[in-house]
Amino acid sequence: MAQPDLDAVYAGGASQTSRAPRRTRGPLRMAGQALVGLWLFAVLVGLWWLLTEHSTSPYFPPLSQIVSELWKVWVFHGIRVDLVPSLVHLVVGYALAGILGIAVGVLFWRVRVAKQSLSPIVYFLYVLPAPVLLPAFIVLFGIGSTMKIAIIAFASIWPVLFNTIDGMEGVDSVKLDTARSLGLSRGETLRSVVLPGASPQIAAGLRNSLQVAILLMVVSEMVASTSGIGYFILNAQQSFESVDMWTGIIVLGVVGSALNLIFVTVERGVLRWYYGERALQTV
Amino acid sequence: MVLRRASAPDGLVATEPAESVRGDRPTGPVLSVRHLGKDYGIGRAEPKVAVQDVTLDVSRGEFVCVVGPSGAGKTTLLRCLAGLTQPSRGEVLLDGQPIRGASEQVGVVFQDYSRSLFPWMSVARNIALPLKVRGVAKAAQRQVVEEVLSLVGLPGVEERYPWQLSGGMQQRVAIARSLAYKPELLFMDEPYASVDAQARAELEDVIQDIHQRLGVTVFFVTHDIDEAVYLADRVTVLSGSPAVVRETVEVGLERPRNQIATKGSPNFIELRKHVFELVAGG
Repeated sequence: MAQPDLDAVYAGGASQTSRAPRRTRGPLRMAGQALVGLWLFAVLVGLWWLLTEHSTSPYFPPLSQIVSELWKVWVFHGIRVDLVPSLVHLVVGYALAGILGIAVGVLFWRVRVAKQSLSPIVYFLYVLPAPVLLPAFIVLFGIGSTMKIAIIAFASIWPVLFNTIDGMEGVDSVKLDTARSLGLSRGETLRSVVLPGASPQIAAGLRNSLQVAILLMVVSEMVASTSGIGYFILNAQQSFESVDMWTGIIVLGVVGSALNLIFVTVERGVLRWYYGERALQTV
Repeated sequence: MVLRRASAPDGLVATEPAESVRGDRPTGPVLSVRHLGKDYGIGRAEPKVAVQDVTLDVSRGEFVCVVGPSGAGKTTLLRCLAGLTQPSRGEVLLDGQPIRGASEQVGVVFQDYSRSLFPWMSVARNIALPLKVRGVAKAAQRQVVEEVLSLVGLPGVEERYPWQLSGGMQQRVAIARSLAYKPELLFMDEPYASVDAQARAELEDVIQDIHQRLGVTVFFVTHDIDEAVYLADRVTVLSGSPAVVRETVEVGLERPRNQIATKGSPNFIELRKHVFELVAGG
């Protein structure tokens, strides 16, 4: 490991995340970075706008029309009627998956027997593609919120569970020896050493789980459902309202991006030590 | 010539009377090792014998260094004594009692500080962790953290994270943490092998100073012969793999020792030569 320039490190403090400590991190620079990241996106949206402006195709309506329709349909009525219920299912199902995934991972770490006897069941359930279980979930839970929350939780538990198991098994043996020599009990070792040590990987699992949860949120509303953003998009397509269909897709894209942004922001805060350490190791 | 042979080359060490018994502590060796052996891969066709037969005593307040060629089983020996590995044969007595796992009276400093310190905790929280699990009050924790940090010559870094410090500073934090709960016996496993030469000399004086001031017993494994002779009251030389005690060398150099004066003295050079011959002969 290269020895970092300590002054630069101290100046950056614990929030040091830049790989090049010498550069400034002013608002100008951040704006510049945003520009570099977004220019292609902006160009493509501009092209879409220009190329569809005089379109009469029922499948590719003008973007200008989609945008004005988006405003009319979604702000505020659509958000309340179709988006909020979907997001409630997503949040509850995802939270359940996160809590259960980590809890089962902890159980596997603490109780060897649990891991040995439950692993076959876990892997059997894992290989089943969640969407094909929808009929079974409808039979079990009906077509209401319970079913949607259950299928979201079921499908999105796997990334966080497997990453938790893997992360906890991968905790450095020297850290475990250290915990023993410092007199930590198994519970204290779990709390102070194993879970924090596995947290970067658990976070990676939670992030994958979020994608799966969004996917299943939409899919669960496309079968036997009369509300939600997934239903809205499918219904618009089936009644040849392609403008509405496109507004639904755009809203879904915006919501997905916002959720990811929130996730990354929280993750950067919680795992500040991890990104700080990693940034120093690659200087 | 201050060289005294305290042992026969067959690995049996004569017990030395404790020289500096502190206060109300029981007399006798703080650590007794009898015919300790450790094999790996038991049940396989050819189990690897890491430690053959080691017998030694460590007196209270003594500074013992263990040297030997690499792969001689030094780390395995230390792990058995610190209760981190179950030995295959023989017994380890701590204050006359057989050890069962890692003891409350024992501290361990590992070679790789970056793997031993917890990067998700500040320096203060790293050091306070063994106190926290012992139910020490917050205010008392803070006081101990401050004390041990100044003891290792690193005051004022409480709120830093380990990875923001240089290698030598990180190892000082690890030493401070292992001293926080006031162990009687400190095991150090090649603690300075990963730092540069300058920091190494400074850290040697840090542990010498701590040994003198706290009277803590130190069991220090190293492959560096100069370091062993400079620090130790006694140097135990292990033979090559599998480990047996080749010889135990008494180091009569007066304390406090000095990096330049001590290492330049004829006695030091003579001792170093002798230990080197023992190690190379293994």
